Order: sequence, then C-alpha cells, then structure tokens
Amino acid sequence: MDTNNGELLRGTLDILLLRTMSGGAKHGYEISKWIRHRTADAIQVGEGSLYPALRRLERKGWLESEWGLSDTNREVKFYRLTRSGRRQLARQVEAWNSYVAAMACVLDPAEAE
Amino acid sequence: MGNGQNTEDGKQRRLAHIAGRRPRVTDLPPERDVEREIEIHVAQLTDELMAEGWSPEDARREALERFGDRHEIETACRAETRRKDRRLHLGNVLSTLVFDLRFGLRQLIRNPGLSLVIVLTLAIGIGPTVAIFSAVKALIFDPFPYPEADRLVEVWSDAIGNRWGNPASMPDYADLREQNTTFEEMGLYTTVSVNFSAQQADLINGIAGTASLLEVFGVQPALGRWFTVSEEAPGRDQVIILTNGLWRRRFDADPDLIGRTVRINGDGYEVIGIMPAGFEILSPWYRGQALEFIVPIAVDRDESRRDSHSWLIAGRLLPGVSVAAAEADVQAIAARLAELYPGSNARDTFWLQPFAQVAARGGLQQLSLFFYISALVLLAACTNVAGILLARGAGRRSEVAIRTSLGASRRRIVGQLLVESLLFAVIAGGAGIVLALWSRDLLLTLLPDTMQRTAGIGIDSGVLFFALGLSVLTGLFFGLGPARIASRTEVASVLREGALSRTSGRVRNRALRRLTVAQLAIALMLANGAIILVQSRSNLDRVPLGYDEDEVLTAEVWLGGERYAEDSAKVAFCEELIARLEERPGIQRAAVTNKLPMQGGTSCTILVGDEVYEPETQRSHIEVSYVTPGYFETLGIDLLAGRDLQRDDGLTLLSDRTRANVVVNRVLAEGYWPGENAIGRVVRYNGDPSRWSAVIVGVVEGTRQWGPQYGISGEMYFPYPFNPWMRFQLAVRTNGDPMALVPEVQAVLGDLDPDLALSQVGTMGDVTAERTRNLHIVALLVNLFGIIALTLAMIGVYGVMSYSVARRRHELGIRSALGAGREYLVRLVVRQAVQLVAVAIGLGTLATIAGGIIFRSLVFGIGMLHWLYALVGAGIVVVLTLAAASLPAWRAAGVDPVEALRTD
Repeated sequence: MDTNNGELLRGTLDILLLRTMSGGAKHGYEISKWIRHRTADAIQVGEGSLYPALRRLERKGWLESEWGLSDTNREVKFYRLTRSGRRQLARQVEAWNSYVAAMACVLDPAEAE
Repeated sequence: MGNGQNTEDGKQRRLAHIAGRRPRVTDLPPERDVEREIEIHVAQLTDELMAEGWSPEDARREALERFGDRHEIETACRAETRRKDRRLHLGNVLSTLVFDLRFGLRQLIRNPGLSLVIVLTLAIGIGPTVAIFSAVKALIFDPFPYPEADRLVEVWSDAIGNRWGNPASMPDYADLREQNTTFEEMGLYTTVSVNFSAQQADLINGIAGTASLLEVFGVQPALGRWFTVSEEAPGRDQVIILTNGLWRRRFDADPDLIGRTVRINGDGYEVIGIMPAGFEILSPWYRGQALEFIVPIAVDRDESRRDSHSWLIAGRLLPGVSVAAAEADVQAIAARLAELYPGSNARDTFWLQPFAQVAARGGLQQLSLFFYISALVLLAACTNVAGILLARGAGRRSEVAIRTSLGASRRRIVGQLLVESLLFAVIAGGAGIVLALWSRDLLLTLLPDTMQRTAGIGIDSGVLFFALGLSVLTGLFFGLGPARIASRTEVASVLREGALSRTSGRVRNRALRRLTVAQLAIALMLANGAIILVQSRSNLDRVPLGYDEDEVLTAEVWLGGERYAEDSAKVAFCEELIARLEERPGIQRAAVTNKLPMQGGTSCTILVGDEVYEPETQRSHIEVSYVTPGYFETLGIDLLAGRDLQRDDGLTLLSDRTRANVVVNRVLAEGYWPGENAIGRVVRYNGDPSRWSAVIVGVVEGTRQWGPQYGISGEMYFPYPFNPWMRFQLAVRTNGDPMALVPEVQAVLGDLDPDLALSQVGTMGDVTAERTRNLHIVALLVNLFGIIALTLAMIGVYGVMSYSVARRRHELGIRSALGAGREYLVRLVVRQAVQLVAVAIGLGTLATIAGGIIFRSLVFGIGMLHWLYALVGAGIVVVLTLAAASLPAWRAAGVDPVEALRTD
C-alpha cells in the first residue's frame, strides 16, 4: 500500500477510524491501540495524527465526542459514531470492496497472458 | 450510544433554543480541550511502556517520540475546531430563524381567528397601496417609448402668468425653431381623426406633424422610411406612417404594405413607414384612444395666423440642457415676438412641460390622493395591529418571563416577536398582491382616460419587490414597539402569582393610548373628508346645467379629405345630414356644433361699445361656438330674448366673415349690459385690425362649459358657416332611448358618405358625467376608505378599552365593594375614552385642514373644513368611540366585586 498517496491515506484513515468505533464509543488511546493491533503494525500512523483526523470527522458530523471516565479511571474524551457516521462507514466499506475487487480482477495472474 | 440518549440530547437542544441560548457541544475551550486530550494520550502510552518494563524517563521520551510533533498536531486540531465553529455559528443563526419561524407559525395557527383578523387588516392596508404603486410605476417610473425621454418637453403658449396649456400658433413655432439655442429639434403637430376605409368606415386617431418630429421622438421606422420636409407640401403630402399596432390590427402585419395605397377620408395615401413595436405617440390631447398614425403637415407662416393657437409643439432639448434653461431661452424669444407683433403676442409667453407630466395629465393629483388615502388606511391598519399585538403581549407575559428566566436575552425575545410580526406582514403582503391583481381593472376605470400608458399597469417584479419591502417595513413598524414593550416584562413580578408589573403595564398602556388617538385621528380625517365629499357631490347634482340632457344623442364626425376641403362643402354636408335625420320618425331635432356644452376651450376676447384694442389690457375670455339653426332647441337651452339663428344668418358668411349675427348667453349679456336689453348690440373682435363685428340677435340661458363645479363664462354662438371645423359634434333629440337610434343615425351618415363613421357616441348625459367623473370617483373612494378606517378604529378602541378594563378589574372591584354604582363605574371607564377622543379630534382636525389645502380642487360648493360637517364628523367618531368603550366598561362594572377581588 502506497502510504505516500495523501488522498488515499486520508480515505484509508477515515475508514479505519470509523470502523474502529463501529463497536461503540472509544477514546483516543484505545483507538490508536486498536489500529495498531488490528493492522498488525502494517499501517504506520503517527499516534498524534489521529487527533486532527478525529476532529475532521467530528466536523463532518460523523463523530460525536464527550468527556468521560476510562476503565483505568482517567478522564478521557470518548468518540462515537453518529447516525450519518454509520451510513458513511457503510458507504466507504462498499466502495472499498468494489475497488479491491476491481483491482483483484486486473491483477489476477490467471487472466494475464 | 442508544437512541434514547439522542432524543434526550435533542430535547436539551430545543430547551436551549427556547431559552434563547446558543447550544454548546463541549464545555471546555478548544485550546485546553486539545492539550488535555494529548497529555492524557501520552500519559497512557507512557504507562503502557512502563508496564512493558521501560524506565519512566525512557518510557516518557519514547511516548513523546511515537506521538509525533505535538505542536503541529495541536495546531491542526485547532484549525479543524475553528472550521467547525464557524459552520456551527451560521447553522445556529439559520436554525434560530427556522425555529422562530416555526414557533411564529404555531402561534399563528394556535389562534386562527385573531391571525385572520390581523392578516386581513394588514392586507386591506397593503393591497390598495400596492395597486396604486403599480400605477405610479407604470405611468411615471417606467421608461418612455423614446430614447432619452427626459429631454422631451411640450412647448405651451399661454398668457404671461398662466400655465393652462394653451397651444401655439404656426408662425410662432417657425420663429421658435429658428431662434432657439437650447433645443436639438422641435416639431409641430396636432391630433387628427380620419375615416379609414379598408373594408368599412372606421375612425382612426393619429397625428399630423412636421418631418422634424423624427429627430424629436428619436425613433426610426422599423420598416420603410419617415417622410421628408418636401412631403410637407400640399400635393405631395399624401403619405402615411403607421404604428405597429395599427399595422397588425388592420393589415395583418403585411410586410409588403410599404408603397401600397390606403384610402383615408376617401383619398389615397401611400404607406411609407411602419414604426417599431413599443413605439407610442404620447400627446396632451389624448382622449382615451391610441394615436396610431402620422401624416405630414405644412407649416404656414402667414402672419394672419399668428393668433391662431391650435398647434402642439414637442421639442427635444440639447443634451445637458435643463428644462429651466430652455424655458428661459424660449421666453426670451417670446419677449422679442411680443415687441415685433404686439397685436397677437403682447401678452403671450412660452413655457415647457416635461413629457412625463404630459402623459400622466389629469391623473397625477388623483393618483397622489389615492396614494395618500391608501397610506392612511395602511397606517390605521398598522396601528390597529400594533394595538392587538400590545394587548396580546400582555397575555404572553408569562411566556416571555419563563423564557427570560431560562436565559434568553431581551434582544433574542424582541427578535422572536419581530419574526412573528414579519410573518404576519409577509402573509398579508401576499394577500395584498392578490387584492391588487383583482383591483387592476377597477383601478383602470378609476383613472381619467386622458392618462396614457395605462396598459402597462400590472404586477411585475418591481411591484412585487415594492410589496415585499412594504410588508417588511409594515411588519417592523407595527411589530417593533409591541415587541420591545413585551420584552420589558419583569420576571419576578410575573412569576409572583401573576401580579401585574406596574412599569411594563404603564408603558404598554401609554403606547396603547397613543395608538388609539392616532387611529381615531385618521378615522376622523377620513370621516370628515367623506362627509364633505358626499355634500360636494350633492351640491354638484343640484347645479343647474342650462341644458336638458335627457333624450339627446351625441356623436363626433370627422369630415376629412379633399371632398370636404372647402367650407361650403362642409356646410352643405351638415345641412343635408340634419335634414335627412329630421325626416326620421323618433328624431325630433338635430343640430351640428363645433363643441357641445361641457366641452369648453375655444375662446376669444371681444370689444363692446367704444372700447378699443389695447395690447396690454387683459379682457375676459368669451367662449365661442359655431352652431346650426335648431341647436338650442335640440339641447333644450332656453331662448330668453330675441330669436334663434336662422339659415339666412349663415348664407353670406362663407364669402364674408367680417359681419355676422350672433346669439349670446345670459352671462355675456348681463355682464356687459346689466339690466339692459342686449338685442341689437354690437360686439367686435379684440384685435387690431378688428377682424369682425357681430350683431346680437338673441340671448339664451347660460350653459356650463367646463363642468358643474365651475362657473359659466360668457359665450357667443355664431352661425355654423362662420367657421366649419373638420370635426363636428352632432346632437340629436329623440323621442325615446337615444342609444336605440345609433344604428339609424349611422345608416343616414353612411348613405351620405360611406367613408364616414360616428365616433364618441353617447348621450348628452355621458358628456356631462365625464366632467364630474373624477369628483365622483374620488368621493366614492374616500367614502369607502373612510368606512374601512372608521371600522378599524372602532375595533381598535374596543380592544384597547377591553384591555384597559381588564387591568382595572381589581380597582373597579374595590370601588364596587365600597358601594359605587354600576353607572358610576361605566362613567369612570368611559371618561378615559373621552379624553382620547378629545385629543384625537384636535389632531384629526389639524390633519384635515392640511389635507384640505392640498386637495382643495376636488370638492365643490363647500370648504374642505366646514364647521357643521366637521362637527358631524367629530360627532360620529365620538358616538362610535363611546359605544365601543361602553360595552367592555358595562361588562366589567357588572362583575361581582368578590369575584374580581379574588381572582386578582
């Protein structure tokens, strides 16, 4: 994956973040841990770059945030998907899947002569 | 997070709206919010690393390292937050507005009766104002059919000091055109009617003018060409230019018409040009029928014609020259002409009238009166609605108090209440536009038919814009005061068991009283005007006209063309026509004249006894008519002394016009020879040399020449052959309904000459009514609006008194408990109304005096402020006000005192 492509990265990061919260509200540290864990460090995202992205998604109305207490009893900010965020995730997953399917078709070695 | 929380959140946000607070997403300022979040993240990461066995310092360093450029991230976060806030703010303003609108709409629907009253009241005020604006716009503001029309003026030739609109003479025109330095071009013209026979005789109106009019109008024909100066000469002048409308109507827009010959007055005219669509000939002599063609006219500089004032002059000023400068120029020429030709020009000068005024002639004063009246009604409607809102504001005090206590600012509450008012106003504006659309035809009939360009009156985008602006202004006007007063509510006092707040109550009461006074003053003004106009009208109807208008048919005939070029041919035709008409059953008498009663405007000055011509002496104008024998009998004008004119009186006149026998009216006879016999006296033309002298053979009753509202001038009746006009008026006395004989009269005319047609067909009653039409229309409108304003004012008084009585229930209860009788209590309340009425009558009377000075000319036989009628008007207002005030007072005074004291 060419992580130098800014546009692609942003789209990727958006879908990742939205997906992160599809299970419920999470705070920033949880989110970064979750990404690290689920992608097995394949995608290197600077921990800090999460925050501008979260705020951008909030501005677009896909996320809501609220201060609360973490499991470790720290005061942290929780992010959760809004209804339109949920719809956006579904749309992006679909677009992603068809993109991947298209790419797979093109790159399928069986098709190549 | 569940749905339950979402609705909870929504509820909170709505509450915040009601309180007027801007909803906040977080409670921390964004800078600190970001810092804190990052700090916690780093701390959590450090903890985790330490759990993996890192030393605290290494763990912290590693955490900061992995986190990235903290400063850059913070900046990026803040930028995002700011973008969000901006959007949120705009969204807030919009959502506040939407909320206010929805809230206002709910308020409006909650009380449909009251809302309907408010909207209708405002619509009655807005509708007529919009309708009248649409007329003003079309007639005055909309562009004229000429390029740079503001440079166009009409040149009039009046006696020094007068601005009556007297036409000019041909030699004067020629001198003006040569000597002026301020005009680009000038043209001479007159209106003419021709019998246009394509298939059947049909009278068409147009103008005969000089070739120079092309430069004056500044509009080229769309097809063909304009005529040349050489075509102004007799023999070459049988060419015609048609307007687009006539070309389409009569010739189906045939492009091959150019060069073809059409029959006009029985002669052949070559069509040389077609004007473009939209071109319109504007003329001060317009009489309700479009002017549709232009034919050439020759300018005759013969000096004997210098006092023959029958021509219109239109001029185009040089660019940048003001009307005043051009007027100074033509008046300097007039002074030179007066020296050169004292016999004809000693007392004359020229003056200029911009074309905009020419086209709206006769209607500007009327339109402005309509405008003022509708503005008054709008004002009355506004004050009425303001009163309703004020009183309603009192009922909404607890609502306002609750919102204030929830944190709404005063500005926010005023805003909310204003949005409600604007909602009313805009709905009423829509209703007003519908009203204006409906009343367009009515408005057209109300305008004098001398006004041109009325076809352009309608609702267009400009009018819609005006209506919207007017509605918004109206909404602000009636809404701002009540909203400000309502927002003054003191929370503590309202929430304390509903006790009345003294200060806000007092402010509201004072405002209500002022509104009531304003309403009553407006109502009084219109009531007074209405009474005076009714009286004025009945005065008019009682004026003796001097003729008997029943059963007289009148029509106009144009004897154009070569056949009738000679005066003898015109006279012979008229004699034959009269003879044939009088043979018919159903026709008693028929006569021909150059003008009927009420059609004054042809006049001269005369010398009697040993008087001699003195250029500087101003002598009174004597109306001049040329009539056939039987004219007085036909019109029922009484012969007082001597005899009627006979055929023999006219026989010699065709060859010799220096001596004539004439009939004069009583006013002339009594004016010159009071108490003496006028028969046999001689009058002479006032000029040097004197052109004619006339012997008086009869005296008849005076007839009104200008309308019943004007006095009777002296008048002389010459035998018709003295000066047979191309256009004559036919009068026929019938034995029954005059209009039933129209086909028969047309048939007789057609038998004599199939090229001729009757026009302006009507009864003598119509001719009379035309003169008083404007007065009647004004009276009708003022009465109608007067009743509306009076009704609005009474509703207003009733509302205000109800409110005021409700406020005084407690006090009245105590008084009643102390033994005050019901009548005493009613008097107590009504006294307040009397004070209001007294102030209103004072103000209303002052306003009436002011209005009366402006519109003096619209009433007859009575001053605009007659003490008796002013008293009657005031009486009506007082009685109605007391009635409107007594009802709530009576009801309140009848309340059981125990009950009144308990509920408060």
